[in-house]
Amino acid sequence: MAAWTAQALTMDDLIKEFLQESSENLDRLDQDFVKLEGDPSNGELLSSIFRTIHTIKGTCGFLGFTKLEALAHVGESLLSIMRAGELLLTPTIADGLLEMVDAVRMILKEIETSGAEGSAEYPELIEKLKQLQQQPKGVAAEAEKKVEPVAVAVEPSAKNEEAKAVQEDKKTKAAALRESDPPHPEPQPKPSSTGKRKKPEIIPGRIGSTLVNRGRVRPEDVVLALELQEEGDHRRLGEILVSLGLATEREIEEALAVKPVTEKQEGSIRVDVNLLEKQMNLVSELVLLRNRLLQIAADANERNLNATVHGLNYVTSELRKNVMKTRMQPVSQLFDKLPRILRDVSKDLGKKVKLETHGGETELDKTLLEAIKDPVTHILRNSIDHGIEAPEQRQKGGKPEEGTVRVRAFHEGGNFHLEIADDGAGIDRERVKQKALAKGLINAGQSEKMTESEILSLVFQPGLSTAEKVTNVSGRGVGMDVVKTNIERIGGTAKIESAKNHGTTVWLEIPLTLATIPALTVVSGKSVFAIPQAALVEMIAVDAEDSQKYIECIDGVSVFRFRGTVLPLMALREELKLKNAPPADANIVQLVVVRTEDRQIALLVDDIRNTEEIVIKPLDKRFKSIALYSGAAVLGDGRVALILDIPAFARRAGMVASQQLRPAQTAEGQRKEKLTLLLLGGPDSERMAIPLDCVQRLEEFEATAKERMGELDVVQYRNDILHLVRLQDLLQERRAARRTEEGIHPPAEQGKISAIVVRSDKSENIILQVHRILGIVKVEFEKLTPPSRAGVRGSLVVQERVTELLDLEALLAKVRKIKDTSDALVGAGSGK
Amino acid sequence: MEKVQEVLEFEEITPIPLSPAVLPGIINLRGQILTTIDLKTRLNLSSDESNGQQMMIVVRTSEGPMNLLVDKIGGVMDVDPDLFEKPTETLQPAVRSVTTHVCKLENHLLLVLDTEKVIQLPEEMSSAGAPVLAARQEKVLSH
Repeated sequence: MAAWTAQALTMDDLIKEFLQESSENLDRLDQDFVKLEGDPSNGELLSSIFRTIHTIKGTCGFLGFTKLEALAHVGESLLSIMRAGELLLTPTIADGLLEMVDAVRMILKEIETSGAEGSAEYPELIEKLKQLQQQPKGVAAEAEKKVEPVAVAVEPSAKNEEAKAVQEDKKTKAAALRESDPPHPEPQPKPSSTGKRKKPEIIPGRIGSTLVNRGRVRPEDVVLALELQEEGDHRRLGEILVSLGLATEREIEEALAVKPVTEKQEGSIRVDVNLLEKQMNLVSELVLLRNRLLQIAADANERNLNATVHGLNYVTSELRKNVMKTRMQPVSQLFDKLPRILRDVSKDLGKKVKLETHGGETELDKTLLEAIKDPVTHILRNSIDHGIEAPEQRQKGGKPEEGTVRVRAFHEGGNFHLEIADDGAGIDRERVKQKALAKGLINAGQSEKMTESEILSLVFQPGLSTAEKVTNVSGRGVGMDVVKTNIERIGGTAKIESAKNHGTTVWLEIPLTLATIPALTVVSGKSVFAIPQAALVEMIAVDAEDSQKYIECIDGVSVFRFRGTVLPLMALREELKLKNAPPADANIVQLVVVRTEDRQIALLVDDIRNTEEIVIKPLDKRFKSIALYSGAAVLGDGRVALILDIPAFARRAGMVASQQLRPAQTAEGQRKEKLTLLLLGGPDSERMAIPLDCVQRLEEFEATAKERMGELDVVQYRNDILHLVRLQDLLQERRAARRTEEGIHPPAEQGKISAIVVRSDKSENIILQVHRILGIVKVEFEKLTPPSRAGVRGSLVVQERVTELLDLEALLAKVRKIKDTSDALVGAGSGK
Repeated sequence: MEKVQEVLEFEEITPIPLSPAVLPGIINLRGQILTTIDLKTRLNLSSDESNGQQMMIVVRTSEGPMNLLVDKIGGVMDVDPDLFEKPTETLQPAVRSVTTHVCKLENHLLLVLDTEKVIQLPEEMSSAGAPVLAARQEKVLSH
């Protein structure tokens, strides 16, 4: 073979290059086929497809991948008939060809992993493709009219004769091709003789050689065109190539433009991703070194040094920006893969869906783009499967028969956003709820209290699928939860919104790059820790004297009262068992409030330093078991900081589990329940508990603050008047008789009243006056002992004491009842 | 053994809270974060010789460079491969399991360590029994 540019390369390199090139080509094939289906007579598209498959086939032969070659060959044969206008792309043909593309892909994967083609031969597929070549002539005749409206002079029968001949020719050639090395395409139009002859050479410096060197055309193609010229074709080489669909006119023009200049450098080069990765790391290190140098220079205050360092500063920043840029890829790379998925899925389900993509030029870091590929694919599948209705149903609903899935990418707020919206049926919240109930993800009590968006977010829970029947597309109950975890793994968020009959939209928000993240550095003990900015809510400094007001340490579990909510508090020093840690300023308590999903926790640290851009470095697997760090980072001053894994901390606080789905409040759940309870002591030293999640605040009131209003007491609380109810009054008293003797109103309290503000979803908050607050415990139980009185869910053993778990809903219902009766009385204006 | 990438003066180790004693922490080597293994703890040796500045040896391993914390470095020597013997049974198990060869030198015993094994920490890196080795422990820094 003449002028084979890759001669110098080893076989391995060739295969590697072939694999890379082919996978790109296959992706393009997917798109082209889908496009061609919409426009079957598009000759240019067909040519492009033909050329791609031909390229793959040619290289296979060269590299000795016979199975792959055989497969590509039947596909090519079929395509060449189509290209000759004998056949028109039908969905069946498209299916067959796409199947072939998939098979080729499988073989390529096999080659990539094992270096050999593997054992699969796809005889059925090959047979199927051969069958497709024998399609009824009626289709072909129709095709002729479309493709060659001018060629009326040719007798249809003659045309068919020729088509047959072409096919026959192909068969003999196919057999011959398996033996002979570099195969060449089916000559079009068919040359009269197929006998072997001396092959013409590609002359360096001519158009053919330029095209080959530029990788536009295979050397075999040029040889073929030269052969045709020798056979008497008087057109120019470029024209022949164009007419054969082996090159586009533009490519020829480009090649012609290049010709005078003997060789020109390519505008772009392929770079190994690993190399790029390494480069990125080096640049990151350079940035850190620069930061250190900047500090040193600032201290030294030397004029020359300063000037140089500033120069370095500028260059480094530019370098960093540029290296980052090389990693950025347009999201259209992902978009290009979607039409094929859409086609397959919608065809499978018998739905009509069209895809609209916007913002394909939006760029995203390569690794992130890779990471969102699967989630996005899944969301798209979901949209088609669950979202878009069947065509008849859509018509009935007054919508266009064809559904639309709109995918939009854009940058906003330094983040990458992706929006996948369908105009389908939307998510039936009621069904989601029922499903979640049936699967035991929530219980009846919770389901009533859930807000619309809370219900929707259930979709992200594992094990929930609203598909009525399991299709092979989706509905197996794995999916959206995986989407969410995958997105969160790369520091992004996933949200869903849905309007009934109007469709569903899923939003993904993803940081532009993973290379550096802003983080807050804090000090505890002697160590510096970094908290990713994304997890940060706020930093609070409290005077040590006042800290008692905000921080309560009851029973070993600390809580921090923070604007009306009670947050679990973790002292970093204690959690990590840090030694000798004198706080920087003993008069001030430093707190960092962090969040995971929706739950917040407060971290007590010794000191807060500053925010820095940090480069995340993975930690050795030997430290994995500690599970509280997500990595390490080198700070500007050269110190190493551990990055705190905030979700892990929250889990440690035992709060994440109860965060999205509040713990069950009825005893119906068979599963093990985990609860964090607020322990209360009754007047007869009996023990009671309520779930901490229902507690908004712990309060103390002066007894005198209590005012009487109707049948109920009220207190003024934060510009609001809240009902204050004694817990004992609500519970059915066991010693009712004794209480009656003492009178309906118990002796007036003196001093302070312990009270808890409880959240009620149905009405306003209510303050429960309790006898004593004992502390907070975490418990785990399977079943409760049945309750012995109303207002109690049941009892369990906590700290070796029988403890009644209060049924807050029942208690609040009781309060409402009392209130309703008293409201009637209050109408008269009774007060104390 | 061409396993040694470089030898460092003692640098500040960033401790990892809650990690076992054998892993005193991580160091920042020109922007690269290296895990440090305390060789003495790893080999279950007593800490008699801990006076003076400790040293660090960065070794190349299959998992990338790792940092070994040692008391001091004896020196670099070429050892005649003929002097190598199989590790004796009398060696303490923690030491023997990571030793490839023993080499009797004029006045002391030289152990050749298998760095790959050294960095594989046993499940329980607990201190089992007092070490009784009298011989000077060194790493061979030669070919």
